[in-house]
Amino acid sequence: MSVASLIRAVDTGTVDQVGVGSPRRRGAFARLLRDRVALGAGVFLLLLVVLLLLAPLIAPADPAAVDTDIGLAGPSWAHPLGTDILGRDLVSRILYGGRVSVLMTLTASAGITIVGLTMGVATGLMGGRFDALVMRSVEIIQAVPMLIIAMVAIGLLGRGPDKLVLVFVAVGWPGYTRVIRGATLALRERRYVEASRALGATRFRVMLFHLVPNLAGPATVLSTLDLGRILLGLTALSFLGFGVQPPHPEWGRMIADARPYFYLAPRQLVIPGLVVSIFGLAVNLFGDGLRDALDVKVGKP
Amino acid sequence: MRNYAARRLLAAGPTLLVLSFVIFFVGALVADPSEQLASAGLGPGEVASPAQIQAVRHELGLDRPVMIRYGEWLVAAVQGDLGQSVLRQVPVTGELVKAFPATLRLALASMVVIVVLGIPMGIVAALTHRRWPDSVLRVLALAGASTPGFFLAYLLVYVAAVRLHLLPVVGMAGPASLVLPALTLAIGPAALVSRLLRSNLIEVLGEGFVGAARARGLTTAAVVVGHALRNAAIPVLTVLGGVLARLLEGAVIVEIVFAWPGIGKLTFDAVTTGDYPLIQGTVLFAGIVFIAMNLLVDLSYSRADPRVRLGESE
Repeated sequence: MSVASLIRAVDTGTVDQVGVGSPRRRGAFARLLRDRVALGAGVFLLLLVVLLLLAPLIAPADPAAVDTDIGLAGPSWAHPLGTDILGRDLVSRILYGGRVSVLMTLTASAGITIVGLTMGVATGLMGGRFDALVMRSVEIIQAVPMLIIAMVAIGLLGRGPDKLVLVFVAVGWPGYTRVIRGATLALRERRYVEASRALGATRFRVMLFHLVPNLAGPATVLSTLDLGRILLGLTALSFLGFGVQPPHPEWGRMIADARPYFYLAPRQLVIPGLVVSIFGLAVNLFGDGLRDALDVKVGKP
Repeated sequence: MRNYAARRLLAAGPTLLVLSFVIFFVGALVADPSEQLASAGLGPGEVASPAQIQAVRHELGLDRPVMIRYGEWLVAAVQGDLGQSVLRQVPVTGELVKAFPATLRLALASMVVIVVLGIPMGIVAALTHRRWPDSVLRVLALAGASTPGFFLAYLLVYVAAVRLHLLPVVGMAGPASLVLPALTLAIGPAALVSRLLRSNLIEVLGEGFVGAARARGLTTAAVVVGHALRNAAIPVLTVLGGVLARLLEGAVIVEIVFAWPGIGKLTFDAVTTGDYPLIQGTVLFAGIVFIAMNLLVDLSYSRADPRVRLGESE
């Protein structure tokens, strides 16, 4: 069922199968619009992204402006959600921090999708020694938890959001490659591929005009469903101090910074935490709807 | 069966070997403790001269070819010697052995919670398919999967320890201190198990042999427990195996939040202090646990469902 496979992807990072039927692409958009939950989640996400983009215009204060006199203040007109220990406005920090968290998530996701899709199609089409080599690397990377490899790599490379994204792409592509490789192997045997080859099409042409368009649906669903997991992983590493460095705000970092005075002002920790959770939930609901609308079966157990 | 087990075991060997090589090679490439060690013997503010560093390098044997050093390291590693922790000056293996019981305890407690929460939730959801309990459980599962562990941990601490004064907050002191970390770790996987069991159970309940059992006049409970559950549980077993593997590798976030002295915290400490031998040890440990658990899951899977073994052609 959809949710189970979704959670499976979230928890273990193993989306192993993808069914490539004849995708009912026609009317997919109309189906997505009819799915109220997915539509609601999509609208919510759009709204949130607009808010984040408009942060410089709508933020009530400078997110880095320190004023220790009003440290840990409660909600007021000037600071709708109160302030942190240094008197910095929480709403502004969530808006500016969200820009970083969401941008990191989208960049990492795009990188993982591009690398995973390319490797998956290449291994599926070429086979042989290249396939064996890549699949062995996939196995190795998947044998060690993502968080541990990411931590070690960042320990070696140095901290920072750009490195965090780079490391995430480096450890995130194997799952996608597995799925896309499987789908490519299935597609390769199709009549239209055979026909195209018989007409003298090169491998590259087959890939570009037959495989990639047919894999676009599954790949889109795969990366949308995975966005939540990427966001959670990135904020977790930022929470551990491997990402954005102070004084710049970032959602995971804000949760970590609020820990010492959690008992004094739980709001400072709970609100960023809720924002991350709700964002993750919305992404997952939207991905679920997208999958149903495009009618692809990703990770169906 | 024995053949199948032998084949799987043989396949695991190369993966482990390559992993060990990557771990060692990265370490040899980037982590050279000689400068750190040479400076450690000097007074504050003094920096070791290149000659002193070179002497330490020679003493440690770091000036010899990488492949020879890898061979020696591997031979020692197979015998359980993973070298010395740079900063703690104690054997890495000893640190792992010391931290493992805490992680094991936490992992087993979490598994109990996962099974106790996940399986009944899955059964209830399947039996109330498309009615309100199913919908409620669906929302709960999604919310559980979307909440980051580091936030969930604090939510639970806030409710149970601060508001209700029910449980201790951090540290490892008695069984009560196990509850919050185990719950934090269990909620995500429990959601996963419940959804997976639900979908499998719905499928199995529609099959002929279940109809036949019902026709014989068995109650719903007897049908579910005696006939359907056994068939629906096989994929759940795989997932549980994967979850246990991840738990045994050490839950970094939860161990840090709850100050739990396990493998996850050890890994984090090793990374933040740049203690490469210790990092090598923890990563290798994680790889071994994962590969061993996968092997166990595959074997038990083939026991529960002989078709897997027979269908295996590789």
